[in-house]
Amino acid sequence: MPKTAYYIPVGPIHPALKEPIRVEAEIEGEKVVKVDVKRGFAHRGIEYMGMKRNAIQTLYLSERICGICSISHPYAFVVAAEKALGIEAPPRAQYIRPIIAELERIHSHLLWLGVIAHEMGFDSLLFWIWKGREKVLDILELLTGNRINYSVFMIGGVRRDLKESHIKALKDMITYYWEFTEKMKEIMLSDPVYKARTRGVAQLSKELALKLNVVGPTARAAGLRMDIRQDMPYDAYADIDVRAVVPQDIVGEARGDAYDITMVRIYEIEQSLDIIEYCVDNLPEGKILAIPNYVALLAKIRRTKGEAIGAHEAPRGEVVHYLKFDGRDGPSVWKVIAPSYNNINSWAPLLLGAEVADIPIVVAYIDPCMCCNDRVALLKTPEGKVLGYEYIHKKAVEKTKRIEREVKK
Amino acid sequence: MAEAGEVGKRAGGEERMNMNAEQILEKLKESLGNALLTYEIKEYTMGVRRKRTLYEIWAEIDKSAFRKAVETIFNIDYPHLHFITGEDTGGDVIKMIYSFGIYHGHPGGEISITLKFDLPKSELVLPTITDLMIGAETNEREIREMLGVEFEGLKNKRHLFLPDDWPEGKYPWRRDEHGVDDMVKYMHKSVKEIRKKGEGNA
Amino acid sequence: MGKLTNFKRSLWVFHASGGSCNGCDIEIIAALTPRYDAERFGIKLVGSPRHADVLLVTGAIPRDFADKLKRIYEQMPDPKAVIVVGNCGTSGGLFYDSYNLVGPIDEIIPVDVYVPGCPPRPEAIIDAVVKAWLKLEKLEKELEGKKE
Repeated sequence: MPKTAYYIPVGPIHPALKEPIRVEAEIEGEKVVKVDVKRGFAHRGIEYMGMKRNAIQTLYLSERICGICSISHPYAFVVAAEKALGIEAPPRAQYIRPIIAELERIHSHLLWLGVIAHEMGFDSLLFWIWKGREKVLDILELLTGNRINYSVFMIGGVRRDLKESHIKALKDMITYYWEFTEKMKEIMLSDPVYKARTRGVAQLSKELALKLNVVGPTARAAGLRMDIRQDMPYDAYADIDVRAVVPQDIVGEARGDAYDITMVRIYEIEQSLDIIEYCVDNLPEGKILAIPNYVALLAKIRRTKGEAIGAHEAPRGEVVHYLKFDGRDGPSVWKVIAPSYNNINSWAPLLLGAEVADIPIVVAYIDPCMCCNDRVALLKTPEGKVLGYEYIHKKAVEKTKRIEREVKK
Repeated sequence: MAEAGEVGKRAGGEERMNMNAEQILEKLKESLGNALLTYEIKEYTMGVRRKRTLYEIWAEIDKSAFRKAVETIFNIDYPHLHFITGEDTGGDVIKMIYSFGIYHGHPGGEISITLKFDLPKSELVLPTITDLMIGAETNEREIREMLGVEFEGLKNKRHLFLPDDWPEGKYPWRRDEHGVDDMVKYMHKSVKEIRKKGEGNA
Repeated sequence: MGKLTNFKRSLWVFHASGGSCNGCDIEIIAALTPRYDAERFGIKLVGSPRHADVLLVTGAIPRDFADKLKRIYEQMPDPKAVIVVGNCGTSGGLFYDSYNLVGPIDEIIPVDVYVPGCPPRPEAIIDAVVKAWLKLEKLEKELEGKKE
């Protein structure tokens, strides 16, 4: 029987980070033989807009680069701006910032763990994890006033202080999540079906990870000890001595597959809990803004000529912002690198030769998206037939079921 | 230290000691000679209770020495590419900025190296670095469409973020006749504009 | 809210993200998870616009997404309603002066319900879907009237 090449578009309707993405895969039988990634369906020209606005407006713009990393971009932005301006945030602000950033990491990692469960067909697990995720969103709402897009950072500090009642709520949350991660380890990491379904899938070697310039959990799962909080510490992270979470420290070796990345993410939640606890226990007293008057702040920016690079370890990897102040009240040059910008590099090599049923896991592996992978099949090519994303998802679930049967035998 | 050895091995096959910022700068001076125009080591102090000093090397080089400078960095340690960007102030040159980080994986030890050079608008061509680092393709494709800089040896020249039917000769980050100011769609008026036209009370 | 007499079925929703920051999109999913549990009202996200009664759109629509959004809208069966979630789809919001955005959404396809907020809370999104329900009820009535 002659082999027919099928053509699979994944996307472009895809609630991704900076960009909804389309992955076009050509398959023969069950194997992927050709991959093409097309980005840019959500390109909004944010950097261009930021170069026309003032620095405080740009700060809020940076928050809307990604709704999930909605504190990571402002974090890198304020670090860069403070370096360029030569100001330092008050100690109390330097401790409040990591608390918010780590809360975001917890919510983002839980989100991903739910997504990967959904991609394999464990929908009850998705709902259970997302139920647990609401707890951290409640805390974020209590601390900042919004569930998403917190708008709490400012150049030279933070805009909201931490109250006694907040600290109590944070402590409760820490206890809650210690239990939650224990359960999650049991349900995901110790589960033979989960293990069989993720071991060896989306496997990235250390060498390739380095060459592809991938960052964050994707690089760490491959065994690279890369973490901005460790390599270039800032704020309270410099006091804490954060260490990159890598699989070789947990189980002895790093294989860089979907199982390892799950492990890295669960252990990073625990690491975040430790960081939050430290920051809360050692919170310095004092003011929270270096320059409380925004007009004065903008005037200072207008007088400043200088450039700086700011980096922050977002849940998905490093966020790098480059800023140049040059006589305007906003950045005259602004460059943003989001983690998925680099991590998507891993799709093409990982998808090539993969099984159709593994596409959702490879795509979700780097955490580009969220649970709703409903996309439309809009495309047709003259040579191939078009298969919708629902078909691939069905395939993925079927494979999980098959493995489940085999494991339970 | 086991950690240091691991990173050292990645770079050149044998273990070697990490250099400090001055030594790296010496190495750059040695290999670039006169092409290294200006340089600076910036120090930043971070932390509240335990102060840490981070080092960044900022170097202005001649355009002709760009490839050599990158190769020198790759010889020191396999770097991580932070970003590539360029600044167009509307004049005859685009200032290209490449930022690498080396010695990542060392607590507090990552040193960032930023290379800057002027690229004349009459000849917007640069050698690619994708042969040294595959992952740089994304960055180069972005710069190609945002600033109109061609990369010699870049295989995939499709648009990255901009749509496939994007008009020729339009580059969003350019501040000259190739800019996109005429393509901007204002979805609503800014407060300033509304006030200016006296529509504020409407 | 009155009784539904004409539109007597579960409401199926298709979600299209057009250049949003993702904030609204996670809140849409959060609306489906146990805390808010929109499915208890029969509201369900579906994978194809051909099955959907309601279209949820987020974002300010990049240049090459506009025609795709139109096609999604055209693929939906009548009666249909469109909900815009978030400020940037409603008015451009923060992204009002971009070279690659062609929104707001009501200049591309007809919109029935707007949900302001950056991002709106899940309760607000569920409320919007309920408002769309009332609109569908009216449309269904008109359609049935035509049949008779």
